Amino acid sequence: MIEQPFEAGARRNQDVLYQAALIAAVVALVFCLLVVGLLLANYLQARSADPHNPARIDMMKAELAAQPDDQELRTQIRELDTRIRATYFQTRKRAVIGAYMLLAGLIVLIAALHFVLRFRQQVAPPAAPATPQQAWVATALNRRLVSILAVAMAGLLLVVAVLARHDASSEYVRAAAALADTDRGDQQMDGSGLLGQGESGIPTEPAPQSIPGPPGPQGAQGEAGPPGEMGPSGPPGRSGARGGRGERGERGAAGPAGPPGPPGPPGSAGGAAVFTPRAVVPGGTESGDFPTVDALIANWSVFRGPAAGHAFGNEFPNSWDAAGKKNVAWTTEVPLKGNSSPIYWKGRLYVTGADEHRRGVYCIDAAKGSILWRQPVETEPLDDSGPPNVMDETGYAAPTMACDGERVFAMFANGDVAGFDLDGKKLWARSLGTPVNVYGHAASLAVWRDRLIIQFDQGSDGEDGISALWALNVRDGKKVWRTDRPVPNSWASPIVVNTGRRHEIITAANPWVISYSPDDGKELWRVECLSGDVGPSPCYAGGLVFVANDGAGLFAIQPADAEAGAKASILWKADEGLPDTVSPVSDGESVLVVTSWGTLTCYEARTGQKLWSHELEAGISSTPVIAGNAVYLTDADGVTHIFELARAFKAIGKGNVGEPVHATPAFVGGHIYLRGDRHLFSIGAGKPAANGAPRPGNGGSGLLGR
Amino acid sequence: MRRFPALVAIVLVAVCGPAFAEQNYPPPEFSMGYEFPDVFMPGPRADWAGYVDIAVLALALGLAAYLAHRRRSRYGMVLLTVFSLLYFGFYRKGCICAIGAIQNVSLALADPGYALPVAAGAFFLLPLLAALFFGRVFCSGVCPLGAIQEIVLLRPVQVPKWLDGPLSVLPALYLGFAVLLAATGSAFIICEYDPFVLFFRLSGPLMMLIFGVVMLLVAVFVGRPYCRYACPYGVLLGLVSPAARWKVSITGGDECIQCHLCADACPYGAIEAPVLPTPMGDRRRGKRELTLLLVLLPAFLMLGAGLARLSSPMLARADSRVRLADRLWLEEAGHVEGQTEASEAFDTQGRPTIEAYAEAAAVRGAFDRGSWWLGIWIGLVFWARMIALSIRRHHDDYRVNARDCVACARCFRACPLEHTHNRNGELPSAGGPAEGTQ
Repeated sequence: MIEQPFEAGARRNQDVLYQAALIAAVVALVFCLLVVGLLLANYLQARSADPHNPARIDMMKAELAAQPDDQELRTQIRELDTRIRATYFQTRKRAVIGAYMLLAGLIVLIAALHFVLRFRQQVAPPAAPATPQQAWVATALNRRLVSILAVAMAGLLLVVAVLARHDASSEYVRAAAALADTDRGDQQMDGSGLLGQGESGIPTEPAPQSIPGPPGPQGAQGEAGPPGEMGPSGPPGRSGARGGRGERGERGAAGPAGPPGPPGPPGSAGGAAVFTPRAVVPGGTESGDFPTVDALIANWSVFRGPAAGHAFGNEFPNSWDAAGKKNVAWTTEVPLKGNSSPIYWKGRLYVTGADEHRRGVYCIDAAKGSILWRQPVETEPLDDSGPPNVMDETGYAAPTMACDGERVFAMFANGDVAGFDLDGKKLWARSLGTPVNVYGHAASLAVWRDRLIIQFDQGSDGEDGISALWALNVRDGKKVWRTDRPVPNSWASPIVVNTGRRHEIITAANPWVISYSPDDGKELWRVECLSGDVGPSPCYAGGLVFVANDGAGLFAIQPADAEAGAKASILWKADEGLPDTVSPVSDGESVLVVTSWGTLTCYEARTGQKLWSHELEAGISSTPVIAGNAVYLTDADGVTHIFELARAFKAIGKGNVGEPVHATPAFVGGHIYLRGDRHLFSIGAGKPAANGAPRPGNGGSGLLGR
Repeated sequence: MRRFPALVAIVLVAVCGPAFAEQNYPPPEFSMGYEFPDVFMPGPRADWAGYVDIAVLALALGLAAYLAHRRRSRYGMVLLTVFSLLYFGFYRKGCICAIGAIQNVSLALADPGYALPVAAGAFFLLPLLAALFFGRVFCSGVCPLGAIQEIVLLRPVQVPKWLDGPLSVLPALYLGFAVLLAATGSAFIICEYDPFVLFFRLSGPLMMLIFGVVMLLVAVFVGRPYCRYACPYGVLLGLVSPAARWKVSITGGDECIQCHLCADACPYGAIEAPVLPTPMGDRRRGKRELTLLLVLLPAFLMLGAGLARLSSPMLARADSRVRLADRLWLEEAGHVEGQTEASEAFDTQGRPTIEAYAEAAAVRGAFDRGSWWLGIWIGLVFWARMIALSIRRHHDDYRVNARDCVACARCFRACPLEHTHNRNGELPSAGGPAEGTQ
């Protein structure tokens, strides 16, 4: 058959196009291969100058460390580093350019290949359609494979489900759920049974419901069991905060192996999750020698009261003015100056005053303000070093007295300690020696059962070996135990707390926060976190210890739990608004810290999240006290600022006594007893009433009675 | 010789990987107080640009519908494909896309606190709306992922039906997992495992580069492997498109001459051959099997739901927050030594672990709830697939499977009737009723 000219021309055109496409494809292919080769070479070059592994530079740096003055080596390192960096960026730039070139080449190649394939395409005869039988077989096979896939999917999920059963990590889900319950206040735990549960009908501190640590090898984490009993295979440790790198040693360790037991107690170790304490924790014994919880919360027996800054009972005034006689019941001049705070026991207030040569204890009628008795404190000095050097801001009578219900105790800057009965009869007096303290001794006294606890930190270095924690017999002042402390002088006061499992004396100093057993003074745990001159005292709320100091931070510490093998650890740290003298207070929900220049900063107790801050623009030495939902904070001018401890600062009221105040007031029976530079003020109308039972959520800082 | 071009393409794509490998670079160590400049994030894209994207999408969808149904132009469709690849792919760098928008929508439905971007909502809805009227015209010429596969398809081979069936279940499963992960705020795995986006961006993780290269190599022979066996959005389009008002017609409304050329031309296996009436005996058997399957629906659903629920704790580990909490837990328990980068980073924040645990517990709770639905979906997918395979509908002509057809217009060109129309200078009739019905 003779080919028509038109068709022949078309075929020639197609041949030309085909040839052109083929040539383009070949050229594009060669181009792409070249680019790929260059890219590979570039990649290898980049690898040879890998900035992630500058072995040579590392070696040179090691040499430099050995010869730090070798300037030539230093220059060589810099030059090499620059060269490596330049090479890197050069290769990277080449790689990007190469990628674009490769992309362009591939586009041409693919387009050309499309043309080539199209021109070479031959019309194939239609493929024979599948016969019905073939279609049927294909469908049957299809169904079978889909079924197999379904079974495989089910099997896969089954395997995953089985693996999920052993997902021990998910234990924390329960812990988090328990935390949520606790947060909502839905889950009221019973007392640990350690202390006088039910005594006086006062609700006890919730058992520290911790975030249970991971279970032991075979352990099972109990969920909600009877109080006071630990599960047979308790969790290894509480899950506290991770204090950062290098603090892993303070986290819970693996617990003992044990068979899965019945539901155990809610958590075991450190109560990171107790944030809504119900009430103050009773201590107490049945002997009657020591105050009951009722008596403790009805009085104000130590510095900051029985619950480290929590007032109980009646409403307290939120407005007063001493100059105008508004809401001020009486004013009494204290003969000797002192920065110690007043304490209260059964209608009587006790304060100390001192100067360089005189030291006195004063008992004042809380109803009338008259001085009932006064007693000097004189001891046989242990040395002839003379009066201590103290700063005016500290004075000679900075430590606040303490009362055990039958006796009161006083301490002074020269190391004198004395005990009196409530009628002023001196029972004993002794000297612990003039403390080596640059500002003057200021730690207040604490009492635990029949022991007077004294934090007697001194010296400029913890290695001096002269700091100690003392326990004196309240009856005769003789030493019960004494434990050396590896810290320099500090000004913080010890607190005695009930963690739900035991009583602990918690102390703060540089750098350690140390807990001791009040029984024998043995150290229970310690956490290194503070620095500098530590003045603020620790507080305890919601199962957590809060300590703070300017320059170091505000720390929430989870106490150790020996039974669960959990070590003490720092849950969180905050850095804003740090105090240098004022102690932090917490209601378990929030923590308030106050700087000496009047900056208030409130944090969430659980997380350390900053809630608010507020400037009072006033100098402050006094520690705030929480009464109900209000915080009372007195500035150095004698003005008490009253505000809500809430998610935001909200002022409630204000009072003014008209003279400088550095002491922390006592809150009893609807009255506030505030000590100024010269006077003691009773603020509130009418006669003081006994403090009532604590309102729910009001306090509960784990401080104990006896 | 015929395989040479494909071979060359394979080699080229395989070896070009290092070109895209991303390298990080440690900052120099300064000891003289030099302060590094603040790292800043580029601001979000302007709102108007999002609306431009939506407008381009709408126009492209309309044009694709016009080309598939009215013009029946394969050339036009190729040009539109190239445009979409350039605009939605290389210019917009694969983001935003309708496939990824599934996750935005899922998260928005699950989390009221998440504000669904307008563009994401539009990209999710518009292609579905278009499918409701014109079939999967989004796939044909608008989707950049489909486009890149379409362009590299050099030597198409048909995937056997027996293999295509099981593989086509995978996208539905992928969709289920992707929705669960997105709804729980865990991950946007569709974006994370987009095999082609790194070609658009000329950057990406090495593993994804390898995945993308492999997918492209497969796409040289197998038509749109990602669209058919992985694309979760294709599942949604496949659910909607059978109900399209205007379905793609192979013959343009003419009577099929049953030449089988269209089926040969379709690289996606989306053209169904005629099905003869089922013999009576087989029909009874088929009905029995179908009845059994219908009865078994609750079993499928319950089995899927139960197994998925039991797997929930492990599924939750897909979430980085859960993995972190798990790790912290194990570290605290002393079950593992050392720290991961994540746990170390957590430590440096100074946050309490309880926060991590509480967050992870909340995620686990979301997975617990979501896994029920995932299991039900998985059961339903397999059940529906089995049902579909159990139903044989008689039809005499070749017809498109609306679920699978991506309206690429290849079959038009293969159909002899189409050439007849063109030679006569006539345009084929537009759309027309779905052909090949019983």
